[in-house]
Amino acid sequence: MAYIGTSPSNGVRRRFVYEATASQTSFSGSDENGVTLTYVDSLYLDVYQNGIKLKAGDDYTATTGTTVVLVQGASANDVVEMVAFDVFSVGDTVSASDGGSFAGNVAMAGTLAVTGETTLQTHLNMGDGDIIKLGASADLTIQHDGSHSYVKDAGTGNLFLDSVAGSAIIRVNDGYNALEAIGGGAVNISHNGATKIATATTGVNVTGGIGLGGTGTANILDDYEEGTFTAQISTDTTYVGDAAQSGVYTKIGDICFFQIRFQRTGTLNSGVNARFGLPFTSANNGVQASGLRGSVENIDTSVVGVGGTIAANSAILYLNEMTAAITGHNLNGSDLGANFQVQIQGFYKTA
Amino acid sequence: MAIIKETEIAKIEVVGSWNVQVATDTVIKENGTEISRSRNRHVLQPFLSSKDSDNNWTHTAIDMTKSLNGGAEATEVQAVANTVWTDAVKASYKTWAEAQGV
Repeated sequence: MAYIGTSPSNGVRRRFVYEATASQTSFSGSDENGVTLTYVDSLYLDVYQNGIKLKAGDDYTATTGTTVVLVQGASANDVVEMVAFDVFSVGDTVSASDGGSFAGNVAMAGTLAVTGETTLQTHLNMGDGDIIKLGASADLTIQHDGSHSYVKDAGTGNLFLDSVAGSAIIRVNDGYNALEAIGGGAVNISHNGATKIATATTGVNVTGGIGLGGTGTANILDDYEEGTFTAQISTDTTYVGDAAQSGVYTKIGDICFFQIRFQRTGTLNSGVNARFGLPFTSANNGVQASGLRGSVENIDTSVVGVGGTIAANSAILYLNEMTAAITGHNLNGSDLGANFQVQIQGFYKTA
Repeated sequence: MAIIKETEIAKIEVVGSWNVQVATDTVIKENGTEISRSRNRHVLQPFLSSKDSDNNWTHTAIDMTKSLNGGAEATEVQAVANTVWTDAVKASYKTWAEAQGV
């Protein structure tokens, strides 16, 4: 883009003065001051003869850029003066209207207003306490104050961290995932890099325990499980299944709740204790779990009631007779009739 | 649509020197995606111990070829049990079982 210059240092306006000889029409070359006549555009050239401005075309022609030719020859000692306004482009200047690029650094003492998007090819460096402000009222700000970094939403509405195709992750310790929201999947909460809570299609999975009412070991609920176990009765030498058998359990913390149903086809050998395998080993605390209540069909009529006991550090339930003293003798084959059925339930502390 | 059922040993835990707790999961998958999982447990001890009317004890070693769940115990379960049940542990178990008096 061309400009009409205004800076004298750029030689925008140049003046050439000649003293004519008789009948001289053509003026060029060095003037009285040794300045060589030159102009770029005759439209920006003024020619004067003895102070009177001449009319281009009628009084003179200027077409070559280096010569001015009078239509009528001058008189001797006439002063012919040309004032040339150079048309020039400032080559190392960015156009205000068309834009352009700065090859070097640009410093501004004031503010920078930009209409349109801003593209940075490397970094945006800002000092401590400098703030990136987003929104008409600085609704969202991002800054580092020299001690801490902040992302602050002070405007109306919510603060969304939105990942369209990937995951949203908050990391700590230079690489550990602390909070990870996986696109289309789980939300994981970690402690020191190890996931402790994870959502799933079935709900929430917890790795480790949940402190309830305190943080000590005594307050940690660290297990829940439900399932089945094979409620087989043992003979002297092996456990055997039978016509109908089922065992279900629910373990909460270290307490196992269970139910057993067993139906024998035939008899149990006389002298063989009636005992069932359990899903978990009982606590080795010297305490026998007793008072488990059950019922048996086809049992010796002298048996008052049926219960069960589980020794410490054991995974075996013995059926026994419930008496006034709570626990009587263990039931064996001689106590149980053919095709007897047992149902018993209870709970015990596990190891 | 392929629906398959698989069983897998979920846990093998050694509790109190000789108790080998086994958790077996039954997993139902539809086109490779798990849609159901249920758990079954049993506990192995080295012997079935019993006392006759003369108070003589019999300790019959568990038959690993006859799992409580039918079939043989899984190879990895047998391996753990055989490692844990040293002669010293077996002796301790017998002593413990007889101390129970049943």
